[in-house]
Amino acid sequence: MRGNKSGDQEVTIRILSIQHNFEADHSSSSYEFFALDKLTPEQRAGVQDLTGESPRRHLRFHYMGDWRDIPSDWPDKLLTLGYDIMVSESYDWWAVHLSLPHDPELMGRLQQYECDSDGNGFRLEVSGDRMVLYFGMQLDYGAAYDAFGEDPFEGLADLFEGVRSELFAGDLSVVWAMCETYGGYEDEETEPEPVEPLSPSAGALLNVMENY
Amino acid sequence: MDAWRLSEAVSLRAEAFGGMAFHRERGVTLEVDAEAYRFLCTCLQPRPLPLPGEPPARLVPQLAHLGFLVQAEADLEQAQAALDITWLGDGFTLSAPETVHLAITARCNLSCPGCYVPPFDVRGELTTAELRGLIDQWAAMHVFQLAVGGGEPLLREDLFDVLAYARERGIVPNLTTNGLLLDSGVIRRLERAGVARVNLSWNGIPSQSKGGPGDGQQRQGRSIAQALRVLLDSALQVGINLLVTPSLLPHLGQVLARLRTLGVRWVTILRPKPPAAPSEISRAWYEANRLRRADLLRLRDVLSAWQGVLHLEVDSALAGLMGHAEPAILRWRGVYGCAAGRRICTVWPDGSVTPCSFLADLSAGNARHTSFAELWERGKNWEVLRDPTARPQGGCAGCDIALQCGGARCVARYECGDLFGGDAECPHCREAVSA
Repeated sequence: MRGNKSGDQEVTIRILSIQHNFEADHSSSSYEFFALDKLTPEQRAGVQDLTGESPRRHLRFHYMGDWRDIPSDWPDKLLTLGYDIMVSESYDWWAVHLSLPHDPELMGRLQQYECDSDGNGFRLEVSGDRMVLYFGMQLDYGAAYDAFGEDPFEGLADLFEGVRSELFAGDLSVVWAMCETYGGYEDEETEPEPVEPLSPSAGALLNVMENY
Repeated sequence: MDAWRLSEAVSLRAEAFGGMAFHRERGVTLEVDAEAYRFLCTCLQPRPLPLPGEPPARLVPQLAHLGFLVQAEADLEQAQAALDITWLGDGFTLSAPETVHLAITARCNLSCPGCYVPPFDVRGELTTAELRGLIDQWAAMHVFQLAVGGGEPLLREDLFDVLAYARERGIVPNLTTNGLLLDSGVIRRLERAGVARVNLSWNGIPSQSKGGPGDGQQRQGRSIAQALRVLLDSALQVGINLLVTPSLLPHLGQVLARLRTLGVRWVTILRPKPPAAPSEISRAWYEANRLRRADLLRLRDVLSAWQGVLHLEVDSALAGLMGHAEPAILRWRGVYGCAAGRRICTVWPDGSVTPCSFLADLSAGNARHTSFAELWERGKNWEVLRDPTARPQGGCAGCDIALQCGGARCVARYECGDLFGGDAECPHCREAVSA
């Protein structure tokens, strides 16, 4: 496990950075949006206006190199225009944004699990009448294909469709799994409440984060 | 069971955070934590791969993909690990430079008005023997690369010997030249010396005037086109250093198209910077050629359009153009912004050692009189550059990529008289403020 809890004696073994000097670096950034239900006509019009793309339940944006990236307001806007999940990848950094209806009670329960370790972890933000949950994880080279199949974007979207259902059912074990991996706590008072047993989605995610 | 080992082309070096590994053929630099560094050291001898579930197993696919781990053949000599380093740096400053920039001579066959090289007495330049001695010291410190420039380095008669000696000692030599003296014979000698990459400096569009500095640029433009044809047929990697000025910017797309037509794949975009001790002429040149915020935003649009067509790099003073990226991803990709005195340094023709070519007045001392390792470790006059708390507290305070960019120190000093005064033209800074 890559956890960094104080007092733990966990062994980490990591590449911290990779710098290409005289080889071309063909890396890129990709963003895929998934709508679990059909878009309404209003949502379709909004997507068309924002992106110029023909609205579909699965939208994909791909950017090569360093100088161009998705406009910074698109993820938030698309996640309020009928898209439920955004999966993104940039230089082996994977992130999933999960858009849920804003529920102050659920939000209050989730907040204790917010954690960050060098950009990995869990956080949540309110965007209009939605709340967006962010899950970030750096996976080793090629690991996403081992863990999530030939199309890791689809694989992660499927996994987080399950997470969404579990959260609606009150099962917070997926965010506990994020804390287990990426949380760092100085004392027990700030440590969030453990959730056990882990749901199938949380167990699968924890397995990936531990082993890759 | 198959045995694997570290590629012979890999140099290892311990650092405070763990260690570094440099692939001399691929030019890839890894920073790894202590456990990963220990694993790399065990791979100096052929060994079976770790079993699935063992912590090092997770590193193997990436290391093999990057060419750092290769299948072992019997009786091969093993690469040397840097297990004998006494000073590990502090993690922010490395135990040794990744790259030493060597201004091997101040002589030049051009007289570009914005040249950053201070005047030197050519009679006082380091001798061949002194340069070989320095290379021995750099090899002992496990310096990875030597970037040789000038002046015009091809005016130095012993250049090829120096380059070859660096390669012999395990340091990858690279060369920056204005190209006027390149011909097929010179290129063959560079190949034989083991040079990895030749960067041709191209300082702008041809001037309309004849007889002035622009005449040299026209001459250089013709020369580069001729030299490129030969260079691109060689084993050398070829790049163009393109100094982008406001007058070049409207033509940048055409210039890039022209370079691509010639067969160039690598272009490094340079930002005009103020010399350390500007004369009246160089100050006027800088004021006329500096890039303002609007220019930088326009530059980013051009880079965006050409990314994927050419391999475009930018110098560290342009790291702010990557401001949309997550800081963690920039760190993962080894983007450090200004690395002066922490990861690089410049050695001048007389042996003086400064943090970079544009902070030429901040000399830590002279390598003729003091060991290079001592100069690097002590870093006299470089203390503020090496203070990890300075960036987040200076003019870049509050910027989300302060640690990955931090602005250009020489620009900040020119603007504010303060090395950490911030970069007044930074497009990311303004975007962040307006947001």
